[in-house]
This record gives sequence, C-alpha cells and structure tokens, in this order.
Amino acid sequence: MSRKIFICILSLCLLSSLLLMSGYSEAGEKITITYWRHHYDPEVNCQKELAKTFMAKYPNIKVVIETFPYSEYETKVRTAIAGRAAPDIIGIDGPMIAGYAYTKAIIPLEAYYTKESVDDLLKATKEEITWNGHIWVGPLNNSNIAVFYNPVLFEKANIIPPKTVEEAWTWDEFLEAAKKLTQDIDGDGVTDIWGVGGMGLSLNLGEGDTFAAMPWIWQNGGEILSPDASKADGYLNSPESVEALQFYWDLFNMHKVATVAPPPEAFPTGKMAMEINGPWTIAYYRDLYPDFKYGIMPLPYKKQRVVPCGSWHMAVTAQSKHPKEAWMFVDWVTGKEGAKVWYEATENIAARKSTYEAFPEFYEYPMSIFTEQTIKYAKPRPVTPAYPVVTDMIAQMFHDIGHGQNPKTAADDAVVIIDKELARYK
Amino acid sequence: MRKESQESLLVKIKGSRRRSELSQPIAGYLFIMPAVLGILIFSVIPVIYAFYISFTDYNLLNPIKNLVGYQNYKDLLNDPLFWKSMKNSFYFAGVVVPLQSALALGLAILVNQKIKMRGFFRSAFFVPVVTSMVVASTIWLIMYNPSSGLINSILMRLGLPRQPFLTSSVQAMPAVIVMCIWKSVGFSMVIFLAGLQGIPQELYEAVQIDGAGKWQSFRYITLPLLKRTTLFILVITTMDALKIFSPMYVMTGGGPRHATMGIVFYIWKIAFSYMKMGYASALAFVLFALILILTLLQFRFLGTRVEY
Amino acid sequence: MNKSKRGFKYFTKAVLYTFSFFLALAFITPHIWAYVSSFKPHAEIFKYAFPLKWQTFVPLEPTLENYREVFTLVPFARYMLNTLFVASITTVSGLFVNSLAAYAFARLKFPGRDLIFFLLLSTLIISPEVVMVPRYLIVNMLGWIDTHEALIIPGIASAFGIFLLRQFFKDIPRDLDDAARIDGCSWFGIYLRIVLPLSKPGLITLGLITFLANWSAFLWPLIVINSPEKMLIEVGIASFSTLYVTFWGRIFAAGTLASFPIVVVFMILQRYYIRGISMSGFK
Repeated sequence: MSRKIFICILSLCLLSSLLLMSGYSEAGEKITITYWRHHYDPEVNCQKELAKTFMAKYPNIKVVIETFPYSEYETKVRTAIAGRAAPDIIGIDGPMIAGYAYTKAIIPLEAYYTKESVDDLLKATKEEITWNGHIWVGPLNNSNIAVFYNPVLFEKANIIPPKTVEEAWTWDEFLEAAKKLTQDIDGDGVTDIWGVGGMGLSLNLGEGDTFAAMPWIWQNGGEILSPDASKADGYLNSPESVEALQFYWDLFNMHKVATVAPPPEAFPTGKMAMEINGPWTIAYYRDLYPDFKYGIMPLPYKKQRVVPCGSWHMAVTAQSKHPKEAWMFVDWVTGKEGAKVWYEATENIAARKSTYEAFPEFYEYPMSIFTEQTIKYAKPRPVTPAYPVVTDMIAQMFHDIGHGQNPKTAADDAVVIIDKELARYK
Repeated sequence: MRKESQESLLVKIKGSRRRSELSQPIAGYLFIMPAVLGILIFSVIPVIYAFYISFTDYNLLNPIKNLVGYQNYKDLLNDPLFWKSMKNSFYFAGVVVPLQSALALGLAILVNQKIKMRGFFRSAFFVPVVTSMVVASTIWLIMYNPSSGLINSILMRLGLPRQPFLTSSVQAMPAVIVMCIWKSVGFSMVIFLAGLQGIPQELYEAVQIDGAGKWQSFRYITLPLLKRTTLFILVITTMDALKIFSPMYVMTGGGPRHATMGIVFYIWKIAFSYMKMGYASALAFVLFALILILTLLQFRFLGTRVEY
Repeated sequence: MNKSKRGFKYFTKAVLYTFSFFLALAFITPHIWAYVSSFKPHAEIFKYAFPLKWQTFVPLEPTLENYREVFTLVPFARYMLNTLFVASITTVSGLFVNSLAAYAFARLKFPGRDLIFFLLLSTLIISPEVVMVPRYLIVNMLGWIDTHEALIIPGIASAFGIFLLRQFFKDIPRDLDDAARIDGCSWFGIYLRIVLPLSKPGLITLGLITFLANWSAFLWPLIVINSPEKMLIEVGIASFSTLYVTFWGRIFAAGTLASFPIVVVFMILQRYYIRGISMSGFK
C-alpha cells in the first residue's frame, strides 16, 4: 500500500516537473513578439487593430509593432540581423525572400500552413513566396499596376479609353494616344502636358521602378533571367527584350511623350495625361486630391498580356526565440480572415482566392481591372538570392535608356554584372 | 634668455614647495583619458573589426564569414564603378573644398563687420545648415526641374536658355555641388567667425595708424592669424567632401548614368543593398588610406606655428 | 576724411548691404518656400510650384492641417523632447570631455602626444556606414539597444571636437599660462581659469555644431532605436515618405518644426561672439 502511495507521489512529482519544464506554468508570464515593418499609416493602423484582437484572444502573447521610414528600412533590418538583435517578425519584400532564405536569416513556414491555406493562395503568390521547396512568409497582399488617365484631357483629344482588360490597347494604340495628349499649350517650347509617366517611367532607382518596368520586357515576349534563374545573357539582352527596350527608349527620346524629370505630382495637378500606378493610389487621391477626377484603364500589351505582381509580406526571423507564437500572429494577419480585414483597410489587391470571393467590388470597375489582370496575367519577378543586384542593374538599365543610352548596350552592360553575381550562387 | 631661465628656476623652486600636484605627463594622460576611452571603444575597435571584415566575404545576414585574403582588394581594382565613383568624389571635393572655404571666409568677414542686421545675415547664411537634408534636397530637386523649376523660370525670364541640370550627366555634379555649398558654407562660416573673434582688434588699429589699407590688413594680419582655423576647415571639409553621400542619395540616386555616384554612396550600396559587407569594407579602407594621406599632406604644408 | 572719400565709403557700404541682402535672400528662399508650403493643403503645394508665380509663396487656402497631422499621426512632440534631451546631454558632456583632452593636446607635453592625437583624428576619416555594424554589435553587447545611452555615450568623445578646440587653444598665448604657473596654478587650474574663459567663441561654436549634429542625426538613431517612444526627430520626418507616396505637406511642416528652434538658438547665441583676448586684458 505504501509502495503504491510512494509511486503515486513520485509520478505526481514527475508530472509537475514535466509541466514546469514545458512552460505551461509560464501561463502567468507574457511572451512578447516584436514585428518590424516600414511605415505607412493605413497598413500600420490595420495591423495594430489586428494585434489588439489577437492579444484579446491570446492574453499571454504581447505583440509590439515598430515601424521605420521606408527609405532606410532595409538598412535597419539588415543591421539588426547582422548585429544579433533582430525582431521576431519582419516585413519583407517578396523578391528579397530568396536572399534572406539562402542565408538562413528567416525560417521556413510550410510546416505551419494547412493544406487548405496553401490552396487558397493565388498561383502567382505561391510562386512568389516559395523558394528551394519551402514557403517562407505569410502573404499580405498582391500588387498590380494599371493606367490612370485624365478624362478631361482624353475628351479634349477625342480619345476613348478601354474599359476592360480584353479591350486593352496595344503598344501602338497607347503610343498614338500619348502623342496626341502631349502638348505645349502656350507655345514656349516647354511641354506643359506630358502624355505618359508614373511607375516604371519615372527612372528612379528603387524597387518600385523595377517592378513596373519589367513588364515592358515581358509583354514583348522577353525574359529577365533563364528559367532556372542562373543567367541573364540571352534573356535580358535577347532580341525580344532589346526590341521592347527600344520602344521604351523611343517614348523618352524620339516621341518625347515621357520625360526624365516630370514636375512632382504631375498627374493630379493636370500636367500629365496618363500615369501608371497601383490600387493604393486610390486612397491617396481620395484623401489628398479630393477634387481630382480620374479614370483607370488596363496596361497596354504587345505580344502577350503580362502584368507584374508581388508585394511585401511577413516572415519569421531565425533569431526569434518564439517562432511558434510569431507564426500565430503572422497567420492571424495573413490567414483567410485576416486577409479580409486587411483588404478593407488597405484596398490593395489580394493574395488569397477567398478574399476575392468575399468582396464583390473586386469584380466591379475599377477594381475589376486590377483583379482580372492579377488573376489571369500576373508574372512574379525573378526569384534568386542575387535579387538585390539584379533589381539594381535593371533599374539602372531602364534609367540609362530613358536618359538616352543605347538599349542593346545598356542591356549588355547589365547582363555582365548580373551574370557575375548569379555565378556566386551556382 | 637669462630672464626665462630665472623664471623657470622660480617655477621649479615654487613647484617643489607647492601642494602636491600632477606631473605634466600624468596630467596629460589623465585629461585625455575619458575622450580616448570613448573613441577607442566606439571608433577604433569598430574600425579594426571593419578592417578584418575586409578580408572576408561577410554578407551581413549570414553570421559565417570566410576569409578570402586579398580577393576583395583585387576585385576593387577591376571594378569600373569603384574608379568612377572615386573620380566623382575627388571631382566633388576638388571643387567644393577651395570654393566653399573661400566663400565661407568671405562671408565670415562680411558678417563680422559692424553693419546693421548682421545677426540677420549670419542667421540667413546659417539656416541651410539647420534645414533637414531631406527637405533641402527635395526643394533643390524641384528648383532644378528642367521643364520649369524655379531656376529655369528665372533663366527664362532673363532670356537665357533652360538647362537640364540634374538630368544631364555633365551638369548633374555641378548642380549637386552648388546645393552642397549652399547647405554647408554657413557651417564653415561660423567656425571662421569664431576664429576671427580671436584676432585682437588692437592689431588692426595698430596697422591702420601706420596707413595700411583693408586688403593689406587682411593679407598680413587676418590670413596668418587664421592659419590654424583654416587648417581645421580645410581638413574637415576635405574629409566631409570625400565622404559626401546624402544629397546624391536623395536628389539623383547616383545618376544620371552614375555621374553623381560618390564613393561613399557606392560603399553604402554594396554594404546594405547588395549585402557584400566584406567588399564594402575593402572599398572603405582604400578610401581611408587616400584621405589619410591627404590629411597628412595638409598638416605638413599648413600646420606651422604662428608667431605674434 | 574729405568728401569724396566719405562718399566712396557710403557707396561701398551701400553696395555691401545690397549684395549681402540679395545673397541672404538667395540663401533663405528655399527655406521660405518650404515654410510657406507647410501651410498649404497638399493639393496646392505643387499646383503652383511652377512656373513661378506669386502663388508659389502664398498659401491660397492656409491650413494648419499638416501640423495637426504631424503631431497626431506620429508622436512628434515626443520625438522633439527626446532629441532635445539627447542633444543637450551629449553637447554639454562633450564640451567638458573634449575640451579637457584638447587642452592636454594643445598645452601639455607627454610621450606619444602627437601620435595619439593623429590616431584619434584618423578615426574621423572612416566612413560611418562601414563601422555601423561593429558599432552596433558593441552597443548590443553593452545592452544599450533601444536606449538613449546608445545615442549619448558614443557621441560624447569626439575627435572632431578635440581637433577644433585644440586649434583654438593653440592660439591662446603661452605667456598667460606661464604667468599662471608662476602664481602657483595647477594644470587643471590653467585649463579652468585661463584657457576655457578665453575660448568662448570656440566653445560656443563646438557646442552649436554638436547640438546641431545630434539634433539632425538620422542613420544611427534609426539603427539603434526601435520603440517610437524613444525615437528622434529626423527619423520622424522621414516616416512621411512612404513606400507608395510622399506626404510633402507633413514633411515641410515637420521640417519647419525641426529647424525653427535651432535658428532661434543661433540668433540668441550671436551676442556671445564677443571679441577674445585683448592684450591689455591680462594682469
């Protein structure tokens, strides 16, 4: 009898020490998850709201969101990772995933995903967030661009814009319209209204520019890198690519419908007739240029219809001491339910099929243009750890071409440097 | 001579009878210790670490660093962008250092005169220094717009042709130079102003009695007595000019066609954008060596003693 | 002075005034435009940016909306307080630490003096971007990430400040030192009672420059500070430039708020630029 009691007490002790070690007794202790991202009010506010509901559901997890200016966000994150003080979750731009994954700075997450969740992702999104057989992030949304136009200027020039993706203009129709719309009103030799500009045509050297400029190459049947992302020679400087780049060169230097230095905010101030931009601009114009009326039409195309896609997502860092809890928050924001809340706050194109089904406005003008383009014609940017160099070279290439550099030379120069970098990852 | 040795004797006698005090070397070391400690920990050690990194292939995100010997240094010799950005930085410094320093001296003398509203003038020239770099670069970017920025508007009113400014690979660097001088001349001016305060008024009065004009008192009193301040300004301005980064980053992104890509901008890009910290460190040390030599030369030629 | 000479004097003075005035105007015009634009609604700022009209410099619908947004969207008042705190402490401590060291380098003899000075000076040469990561590692080791110590302590000792003050100190005549030594003054006493008081312009200049450098610091505060409660001003201003769009009105408003205090401080400090040593001044 006393033996049984002794065994009972022993097993009770063992059980309680096991429980102690498993951390369950830490139910009184809070785990803090830190999430870093670049600053943008609509997105940040939405995520803070989601954090509140998350913390209400999981009272032992505290979520802290810290934001930093976009211009130096990458520097901040990379220094923190290098300095061994990284947060648990980081906002990460889709094409950068391969680089972070390659150096094991972030952890693979497919083990946490349910099959249902994976199937719910758009094909383009799945391609974007997968590398080396693993899924590395929770996707926040997708991105897309279209042509915003000024209806008043269109009417004056007797131009009728296409209303659906099927009616989209060809490059030639696009160029014709741009030529008609570019005007020097007061005859002083200075163009007062530019035909076209915006993303991909602003010749800046940032990711947004590569994002919007690459489709010019794709639409003519060209590619950036080989299918296995091992080289650029023969792809970036293929005849199709160079032909597309020549058309790009013409816009700036021959037809002069676009300019290397447009006035700031040219489109909403009536100094530009067509502007290539994304759905996030809708909220911007609504808030800051409430009296400005504009329309949206699909991107033009040449040999095939292609649009860019991909956006910023949430990844869990390898230095995180609470990867499971971090994933829980990532899933809270990027899972099916979170994605719906996210769309309502940010009006960005969604990454999940369920989000499209939940909001009929995705199929109404103007969102219908973005929706159809994304679902049918989206192509992700090249996935490679060498992406930082690739994107910089491509932005530089478009920049140089806009400034007058010969397209074939610019492409060849970019190829040399890109291939040298790609060779490091063979 | 004799008087001095008598005095020093007195000092020695007095010294031995004074309440105990530190000997000169100990006082010296003690006084410099806090500063040296701070600089040692937060500057010297990081610099040594960075030097070590320059011999590795450290890629910032990956904690593993492999030694690659002199590879990084060999690579930079073959890197056309390295040479281009070096050239750009030296071009920038070669114009800015003499121009800005001379202008700063001129302005300092100007606002040192007993003219009304000199407080206003001093503040006006100093305001750009205080303006945030982001705001300043933005404003100049708009002013330089080739279609009808402020500057081109004025040129057109005067009947002159419009200029491409930042969109021309020839004019971009001079345009950036003008903006940088505007931004920093007040800084040098303020230092020269402080230096001018140290020149006793009596000296000017004395030579004026002897009949010397403004130019002569400038040449024989002001300039020589400002030598130490001038050395400081030249050394610091050279260092800052060769390390210039922000304005190019915000206004031109290094373009057009790399015309305004300075070496530090290139280093930053390699370090944080391409994440090749090892290579970036090597670039930084080559720059370091060059500036060090320049600084030594400046000290040698300008660091002489000044007698009253 | 005969009439023609006096007339010439007035003429040159008039030319001087006019020239200075236009130069000063050119210098502050960009700043004025930013200041005026901060009171314009966003849509109006670039409507009249060019071609140049009078509307460029006058808000047609003046509004305080930008300022309101600056203070409500980010804890900007907190940023200003933080920056004031960090800048003040760093400046004052720095003045003491650096002037002491500069005095030793300028006046005292000890073995290795010039070599050490030059080594310190050479730390000014390296570009900060490259030493940022090792510095961050050290600060992390000290446990100062996301604290104001990380901003203050590394900023106190400054080779720049030591260099500046050493040059100023060297210009003070040695006779004063020697006289004080005869009177029984200690090394520290000479520093405190002779060198410091006579270097007011130099000290004020360094104080101003240090304060300004800390006030407008961007990269290092961005890197080491994580929480918004501790963040500094320049980082706050940069937040208004986002991935998708730039909120110019807010940037101009925040920029004006950031630069105004310094300009005021500078104007007040003018009276301290008094003339230095006068030969008849010492006993």
